[in-house]
Amino acid sequence: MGRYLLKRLIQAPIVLFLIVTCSFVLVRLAPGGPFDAERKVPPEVEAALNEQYHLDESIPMQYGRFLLDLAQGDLGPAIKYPGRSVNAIIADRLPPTLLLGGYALALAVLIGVTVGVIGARLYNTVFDHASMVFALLGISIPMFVVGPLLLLAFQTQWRLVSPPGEYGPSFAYLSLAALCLAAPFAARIARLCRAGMLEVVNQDFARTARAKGVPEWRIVTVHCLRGALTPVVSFLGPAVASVLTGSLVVESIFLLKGLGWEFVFSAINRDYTLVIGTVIVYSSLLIIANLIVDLCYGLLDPRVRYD
Amino acid sequence: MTETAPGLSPGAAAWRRLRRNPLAMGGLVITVVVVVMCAFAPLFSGHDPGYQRHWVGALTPGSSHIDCLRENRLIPGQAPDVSPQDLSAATTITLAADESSYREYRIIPDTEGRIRRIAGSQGELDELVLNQAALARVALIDGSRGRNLAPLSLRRGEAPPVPLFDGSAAVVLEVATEARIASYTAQLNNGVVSAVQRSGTALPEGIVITGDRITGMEADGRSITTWHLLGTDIEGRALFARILYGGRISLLVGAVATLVSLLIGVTYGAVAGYVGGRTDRVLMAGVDVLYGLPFMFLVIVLLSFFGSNILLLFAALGAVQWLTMARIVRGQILGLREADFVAAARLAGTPAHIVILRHLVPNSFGPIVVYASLTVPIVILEESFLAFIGLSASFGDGQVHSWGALVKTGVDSLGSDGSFAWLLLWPSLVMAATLIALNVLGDGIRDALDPKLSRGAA
Repeated sequence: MGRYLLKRLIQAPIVLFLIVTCSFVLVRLAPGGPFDAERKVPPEVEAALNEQYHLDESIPMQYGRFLLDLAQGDLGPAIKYPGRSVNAIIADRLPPTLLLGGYALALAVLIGVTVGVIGARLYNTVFDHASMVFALLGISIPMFVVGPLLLLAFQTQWRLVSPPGEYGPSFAYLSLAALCLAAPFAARIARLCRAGMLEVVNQDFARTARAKGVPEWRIVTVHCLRGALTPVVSFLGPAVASVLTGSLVVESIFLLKGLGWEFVFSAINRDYTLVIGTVIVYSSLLIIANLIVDLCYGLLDPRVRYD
Repeated sequence: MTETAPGLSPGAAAWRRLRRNPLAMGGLVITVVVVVMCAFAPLFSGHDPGYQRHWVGALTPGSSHIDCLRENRLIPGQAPDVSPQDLSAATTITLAADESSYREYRIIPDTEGRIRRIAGSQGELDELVLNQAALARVALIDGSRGRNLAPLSLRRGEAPPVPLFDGSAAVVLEVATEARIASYTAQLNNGVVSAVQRSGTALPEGIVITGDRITGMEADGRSITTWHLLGTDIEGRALFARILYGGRISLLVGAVATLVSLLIGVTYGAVAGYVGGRTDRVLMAGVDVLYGLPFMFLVIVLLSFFGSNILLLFAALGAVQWLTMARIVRGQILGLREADFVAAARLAGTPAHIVILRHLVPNSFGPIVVYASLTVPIVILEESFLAFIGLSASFGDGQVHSWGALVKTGVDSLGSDGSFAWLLLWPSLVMAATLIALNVLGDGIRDALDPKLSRGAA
């Protein structure tokens, strides 16, 4: 276990370095510069701008400077926001994204596991079939279709929520956004959990427990749930990546100005430093999440060997 | 020797199991219908998906309108150029054109929906009385949506008697100061215009009329109109045609990107599994590392910095999906490698690539097909996601967009009161139905090829 953890901890910076290099190369290889879109600036102004952001140096020089700054935790100045650093913007935008993503993930696990377990216990009943139909819909209907419809119903028609004001979104509004983001993941978790549950409910240990007179709810929650959760946990690693990706559209539909919104904005506006900065933050989040998922895997199923 | 009973090949057995699964067959039927309709789009919709008719605007499903062009020409000596329909067989074409002159008034609401200002070209008004029907029309500031108004009077400080603003910041009221409908008649001879008249007076140079002024068109007494099954979008483009032609992009990306992922994944996994040992460990460690990459973010950076075209989209989305395929193929081949028939092939001196291609890959066909069929809807969903944030390919001078972009247009044009809902509803419905069908079909194929794995695992 210790050795495995050490291996993963060594691997993490290598992955991060790969991503940093990859995004740097991608961004710099692209034709055009960050000041192309604006109205034509005089050549001396453009030269001054390029010098200020070190765009006049050779690419290897820029890369070296970039790595040096990064090692000190400095992501540089944001090109499209004069006077603001990428660090400050990310510090500003990250909390809404983390809140939305965390909330959605929690909702997805809660709904998915509940529906999946009940579906397996009521195997081949109306509830089971209905929940699997909903799961299929959840997987197939894109969240950018669900989101506007939710807003149309809850905000425009029934006036149950109001758009985010000066102090950020209300809890009800945030819940709506999180529900929209969680739906496809809840659907997948429900299917996985149901299948996992069906796998274990009739195994010997469950039969033994039943023969000893353990109440059914205890068999489900204490004896079987652990086994049923293993596929769910291994799904959570990739799910974190997908939740972060999905957050890009959910933030723009629900007008929550988080990191996802900022990332899309910066990519389309070719804000070199901000793009790379957001990609680094997302990658770090992903690496940490995968590490946690791997550890949980071992806690759930002691047969898993780390080597 | 006894005769053996004719056995079923694994493929035929799987097809028989698939046929007995009504859900999967439903998915197959829907998939085939959608693919055929998109592939042969011109047979199912006569409309050009990119043709804009600003004067028509957004029409509800089933509406019809006069089938004229943006610029309509009736010029002696030339073929009539007034409609996408072929009118060369007609002998007379009559056009009714609105030649009224309009005065514009800008009506600005306050926050409660009452009229705050009525601004005309001669200054501010307190009251505007329109007493003739069909002489006033409402347009939004960008001139995109027009509709006619019944007689009414607007007073400053009061709410308008009919819904006027639709939540917009201001509307422009065009009021005809002089109503005049002109009638043009063209005589045709062998498909060529021979003479043009305006209310009985000959016009030797012919006429050019813009589409927004035409109020009627007849060829030999037959009214020249067209209708739209699913209505039109805000630019007046036929929605049904847009969905069919847009589906070509979505389905093409789904199919080709899956093939790309298949190609990379199978090659990579087969090599790792067949060679084994150290090579296998290094290759699979590479896959593990790549699993940790936030691929979609890199794809977004790639597409926004290099501009999105369909080839880049194929490569990028294919590159995202091959990892799982490589793992599955490697696992399969690792298991098959020690089988006797592989040893026999090797002993017979068969080169490694032939062993892989002829013996190992075909024997892992089941899992490959299952995973590939489940990858197609994932890729379509990812493409639509990219299209939604404005990063997808388009055909036809940027006028034909994939389903994701159509949904985005629907979301953007959805008014605060849910008007124009069909622009969101139909693209979403078609896309969701296709994805559901592909998912159900993929599940069915998995159950048919690998009965062990069934029971609806995700």
